[in-house]
Amino acid sequence: MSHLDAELLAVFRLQVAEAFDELGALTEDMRSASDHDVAKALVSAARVTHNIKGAARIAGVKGVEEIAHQLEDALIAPRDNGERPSEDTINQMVTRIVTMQKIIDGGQILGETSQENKPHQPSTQDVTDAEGTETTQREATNIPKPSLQPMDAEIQPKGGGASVRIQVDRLDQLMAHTGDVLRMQSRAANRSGMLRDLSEAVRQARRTLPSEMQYRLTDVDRLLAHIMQADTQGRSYLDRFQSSFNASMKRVRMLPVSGATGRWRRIVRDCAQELGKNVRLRVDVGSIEIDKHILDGLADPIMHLLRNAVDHGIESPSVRAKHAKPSTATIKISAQIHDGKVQLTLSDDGQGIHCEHVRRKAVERGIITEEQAASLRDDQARNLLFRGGISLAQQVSQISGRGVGLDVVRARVEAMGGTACIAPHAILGGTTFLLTVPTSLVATRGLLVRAQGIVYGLAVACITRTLRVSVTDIKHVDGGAAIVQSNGEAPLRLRWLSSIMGERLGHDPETIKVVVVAHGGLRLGLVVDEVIGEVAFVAKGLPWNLKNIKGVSGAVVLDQGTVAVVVDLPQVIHETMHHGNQRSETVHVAPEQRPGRVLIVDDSLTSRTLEHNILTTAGYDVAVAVDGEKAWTHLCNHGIDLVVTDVEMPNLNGLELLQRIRADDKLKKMPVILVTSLQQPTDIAAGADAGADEYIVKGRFDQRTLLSAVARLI
Amino acid sequence: MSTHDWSQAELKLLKRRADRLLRLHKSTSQTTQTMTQVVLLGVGNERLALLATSVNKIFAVPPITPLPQLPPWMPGITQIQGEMISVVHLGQWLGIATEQKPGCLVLASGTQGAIGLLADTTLGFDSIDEDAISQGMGRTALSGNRSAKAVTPHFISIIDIEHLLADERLIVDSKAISGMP
Repeated sequence: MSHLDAELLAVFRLQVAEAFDELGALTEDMRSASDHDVAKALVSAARVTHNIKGAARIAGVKGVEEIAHQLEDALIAPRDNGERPSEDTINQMVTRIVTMQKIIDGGQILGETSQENKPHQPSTQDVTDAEGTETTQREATNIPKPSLQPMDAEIQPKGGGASVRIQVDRLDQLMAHTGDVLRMQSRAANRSGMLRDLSEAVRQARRTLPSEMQYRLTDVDRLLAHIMQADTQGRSYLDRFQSSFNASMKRVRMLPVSGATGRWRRIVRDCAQELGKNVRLRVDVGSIEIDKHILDGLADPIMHLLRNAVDHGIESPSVRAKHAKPSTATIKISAQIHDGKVQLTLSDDGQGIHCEHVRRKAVERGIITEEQAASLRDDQARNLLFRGGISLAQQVSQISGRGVGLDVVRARVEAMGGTACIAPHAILGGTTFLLTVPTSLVATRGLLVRAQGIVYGLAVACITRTLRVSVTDIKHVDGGAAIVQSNGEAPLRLRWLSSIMGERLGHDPETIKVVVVAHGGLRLGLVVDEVIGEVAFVAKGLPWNLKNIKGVSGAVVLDQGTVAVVVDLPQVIHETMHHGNQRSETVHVAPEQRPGRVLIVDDSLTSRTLEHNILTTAGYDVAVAVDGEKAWTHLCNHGIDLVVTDVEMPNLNGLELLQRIRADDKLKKMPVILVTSLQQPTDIAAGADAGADEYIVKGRFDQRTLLSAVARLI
Repeated sequence: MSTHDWSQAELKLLKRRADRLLRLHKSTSQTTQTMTQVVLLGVGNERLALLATSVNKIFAVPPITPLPQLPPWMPGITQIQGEMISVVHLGQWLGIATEQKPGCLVLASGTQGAIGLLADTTLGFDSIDEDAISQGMGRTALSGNRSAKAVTPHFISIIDIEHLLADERLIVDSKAISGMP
């Protein structure tokens, strides 16, 4: 096969994939629409089929050409006679469409005339056997099979303008530039700030200089004013460019949600046929457009929900008849835009979810206790299905019933910054799922915060507000730190962001900064060291070898070239609020607020006072003792975190005190620092042998050495 | 066609020249066939070599952002020209004791992707005679390490970037999500 043929076939596949989607929708219309609309559907279907036939002829795919020809004949008769096609005729049409689809999906698209391409039952085996002689099968395997997956993004400007197909990776490269533009903007803002500072410095300097020098600086000042004016204009231009570039990038990546309806119809049709059910899919997504990556990301979750609906939700025809329901069941997908997000609603008129059944399964699986099950509202019980491990299927089939799926649906949707839940009230009487996703992935607003020196990005969409909270207002509720709110709301759970990210905890100031984040009805207070500010950023994926890092959704390059970690807020909130065993992670908070208690033991007043002042100034709670014996008494009666002791002292010297501490079961792990004028290697070795954690020689005494040793050991 | 009659002395001179040229040609052709260019790095007391073809660039150590759940020898990620790169501490990865703070970041790449390798120092470039390299690490400090594939007569350990990148320990997946049923 020549390169040209392969290219032609790739184009043919893309064209007919779209045409099949359209035909699928038209056949649905023929079943349910008014006579007038059915006539219109027949005209459109004949036109689309004719186009498929023509394209198949050009591409040399004779099997499809012949079936399209037969389908066209079948459509022309009712169209010309003004008749409504019978259910039988429509089924035959569907069968022909499926057959053509399978010929193409199976890669058997050589110019072979099929002996068996008359309409027949569309089993895969059937089609393969009919179309594939030994020769054609071998040749077919050599055909580079162009994927029907959207390798290319089609840009379809509204108003019927010309369209162009672009490789997605090229589009992604373009998208990466949105991040560059944002960094340029941020750098320009920093530069403007520096210019303002410089101008102010010049003005102040001018006031203090003699008049002759002042005159010279006037020129500098004037020049600076010009530069600042040019800078302001430049920034203004950059802002406009960034805004327009962002908007264009968003538009260029948008694809109509309706483009996915053909795939949804095929899933419902194939699944219903397999299970012997009659199901109709109604789609009402209007002209809503969505980012290509999000549309692709929704493919698997929606497929799963549709298959679940047909398999579990929709009853068999006999059961439906018993309940006086129409023999043909309905699944409806609709889409609406709210607050810049698309809400997809998937409803069915099946039997719904039996909440008691879910409760029982959740208890059996150990997901909740019986008491918890009893206290759950019905909508809360239904949403347990998203936690994984619960399957309501009577038996495992190829379609569903393995107890995994809805948890994955939620994970996939949340990975795109969306939510998934079951609506409290079913629209069509069965079950209604609500999937909410952002419309675009281009530059999102984020709040940059710092915790333990690391900068993190938090999506603004999940942030409710920021608070300053006195540490005295932090209570322990249900085993975790929380703020009890005066407005009667439930206590706000607190988690230290650095702890979530696996970093060590530092000392908190008297007033801590809390970013309140919310997702899926859950709220959490994230404690950070600093709120840097709100920025627009384009999050990048993690490096190739970091497949998944819990709590991290990506990274973003800041204007200084450093990398900030983008926190996966939905996951962090979900994990924190649902996993009770992690609650103790925040219990350490209160002890962190208490200053370390240090006992200084020295018979020298000067040394005692010096060490006392250094440690008190650093915020430690300091007690003193004049010799080892008194120190021992103090240690036995008071809580102490660390001992700083001299060696040579009356009554009980430092080494003896140390040995006594190490021999005591309760105190043996107490950190001890020896501060002494003894500096011979043998002295130091003796200290180490006795179990000193640190040996500081008074002759080389430096307050930083003492403070760093205390901070390290306490 | 020249009609010049060559004297014996001239013929001898010409023969000597021809011999010299032949020797020169032999030595040159041997060099190009067996020498391979490497980047030499110092980590602790070890000298390591990376094939120059697998090294994209060497930088001063850039800011590294730590991430949770990374192994101890992977201090975090950094960005190089907008691309996110995982950073591996070469000494800790290979089990070489070093107390020195890393002094350079080597951006290396193979078929899997790119990775940043922290080393103490860059010792320069060198040509290593491939014939003199003994495959396997024998009893060197890095014996048993899958990334170290060979050693030179001067005990320079050659690190195989493709092996390193294919090592499954490099893959971090803390929340493997099962596929859709």
